[in-house]
Amino acid sequence: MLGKLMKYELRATARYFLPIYGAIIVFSMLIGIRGVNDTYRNALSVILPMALGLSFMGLGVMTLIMVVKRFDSNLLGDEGYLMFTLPVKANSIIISKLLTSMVWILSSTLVFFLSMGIITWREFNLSEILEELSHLQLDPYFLVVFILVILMSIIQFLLQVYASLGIAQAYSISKNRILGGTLIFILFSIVINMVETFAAAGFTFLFADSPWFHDLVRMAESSDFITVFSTIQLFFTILLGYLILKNILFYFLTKYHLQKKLNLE
Amino acid sequence: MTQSIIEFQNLSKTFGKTKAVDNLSLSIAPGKIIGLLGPNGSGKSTLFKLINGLLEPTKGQVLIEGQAPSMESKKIISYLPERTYLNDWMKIRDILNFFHDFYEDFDLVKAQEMLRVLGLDERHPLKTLSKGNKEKVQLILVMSRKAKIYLLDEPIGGVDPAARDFILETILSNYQEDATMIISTHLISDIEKVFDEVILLQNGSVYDYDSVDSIREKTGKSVDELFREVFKC
Amino acid sequence: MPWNFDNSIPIYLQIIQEMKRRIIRKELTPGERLASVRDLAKEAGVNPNTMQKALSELEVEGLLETERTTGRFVTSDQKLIASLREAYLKERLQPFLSELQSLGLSEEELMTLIRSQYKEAEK
Repeated sequence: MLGKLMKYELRATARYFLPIYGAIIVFSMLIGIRGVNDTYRNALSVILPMALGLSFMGLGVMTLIMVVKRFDSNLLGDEGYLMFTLPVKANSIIISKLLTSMVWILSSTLVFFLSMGIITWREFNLSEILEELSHLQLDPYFLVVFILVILMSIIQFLLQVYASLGIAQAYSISKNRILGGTLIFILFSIVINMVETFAAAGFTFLFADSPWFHDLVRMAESSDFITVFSTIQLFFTILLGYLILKNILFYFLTKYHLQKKLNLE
Repeated sequence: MTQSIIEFQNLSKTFGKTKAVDNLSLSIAPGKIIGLLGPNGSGKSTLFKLINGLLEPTKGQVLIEGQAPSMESKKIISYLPERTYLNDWMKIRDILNFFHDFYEDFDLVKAQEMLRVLGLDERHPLKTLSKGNKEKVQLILVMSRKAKIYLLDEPIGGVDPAARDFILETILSNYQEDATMIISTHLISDIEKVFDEVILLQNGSVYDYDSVDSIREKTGKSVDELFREVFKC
Repeated sequence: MPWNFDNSIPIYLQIIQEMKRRIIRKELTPGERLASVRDLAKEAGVNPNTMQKALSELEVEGLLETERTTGRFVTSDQKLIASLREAYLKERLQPFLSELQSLGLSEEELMTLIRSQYKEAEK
């Protein structure tokens, strides 16, 4: 069921993303062919980078719009009458939206790197770069945690949007669902910010004098790279845990309001 | 005693201050075409949404084959809402495949045949269809399923007489003998000869639940006449 | 084209009347095979259950016969059809006759009247 939902979700959104990807690749190629240090200095050398920049901006804006619009109009508008009477679990519906958004966000990132690569291809020396990379000693654990943190952060943003929209429609915050959702989103951000600040302050207040905290600080400020690094790893691991918790919270907020408090008009 | 297919037990649904459904208890036996009648705001659409899981009860419960609404009950319920739920990026062919993908009981061939009869080309984008045609496409989608329960919310409201005839014909020719069909309407005279039973709803409660022949024999009136009498403002 | 019905009288009774009418008028011939319940219901524009009820009644009255595998047939019993026709005619005639009698028409006057009207109608 999830696969089928995603199939249709991707088809519904591909018509918006693929053309912009295409435009970006084309612009990048046009710039790349002429080289970055291009001496021709005509109108094109101004227009093309501008067009590329605008395309990226457009991509960013459109991604945000898609995330919000797909959730809102497909689930909370008239289409909701179709979606919520399908014999699928609420989990599948939410996850299909989440994963599809992820697919586009990650694809956009890839397209960005691709674009940069195409633009700089003349200056590029693939073998040089690969050699540099192989010399980097990346700790696998850290790499994994780091990537997970990025993914979880993206997911947190998405789930916060979904939960906000879900809550706004459940309590009829505003006649305009998107407006209501935005308000709730902002509210969430403020509250989370406050909670985090208080928690940090409270944490410091409670533990500032404890010995293990002093140890921790000493490790972070030490001149030994390995110690600093493992502190950073610890930090990121805790951050990951925290993000996962937030995601679980927002996921259940979304699911609860879509299942128990759905009120399509 | 056949198990009731749908059962309402002390069902209430409140929206803010309004009681859309008020402590309603009713048992519906399978295999009938039932009219759900009542003036606007009497709770007809709300009852449908409570049956198919789009709304949760405030109090009491609704049971489909003895169970609360779930993914399983959605498999056997075919619902035609008052609204058009068609999206704007698919062609007719796509929404047919969509139903085929998600509903095991969807008869793709039958749906295509009905479209052909109506002269609708599969390749038409949904967004170019007139409102009337969109409603017909939805009706075809709903009636092409071999469901156990059909819920049709105001299927003939606001359509021209020719379309109305087509809709009634479609409903009758696709009717499965052991299926239960509940049709809500406020245009009773056009459709009452199709009903086995009617539920008369007033202010979220059941005013009467009886077979239409019984009503005709007891009162010597048509259901439409009875309705006008009971619900005159 | 859906049949015309009066919604204040049970539909199945009206279906029975219509079927009898068709049998009498030979629109349904003796031994003719009927369409399926669904098709008849669709043609009449009624609930299949209602059509089924009407057809069952007609079977009880002997006007229809069901062969399990081959379907439903109009009875071939000519005597039954004839008596149905007679009953129908009598029923139609009765109120009319009552009215004429209340106007004081004698049996002789009635016969003369009928004969002349019949001749008129034949022209």
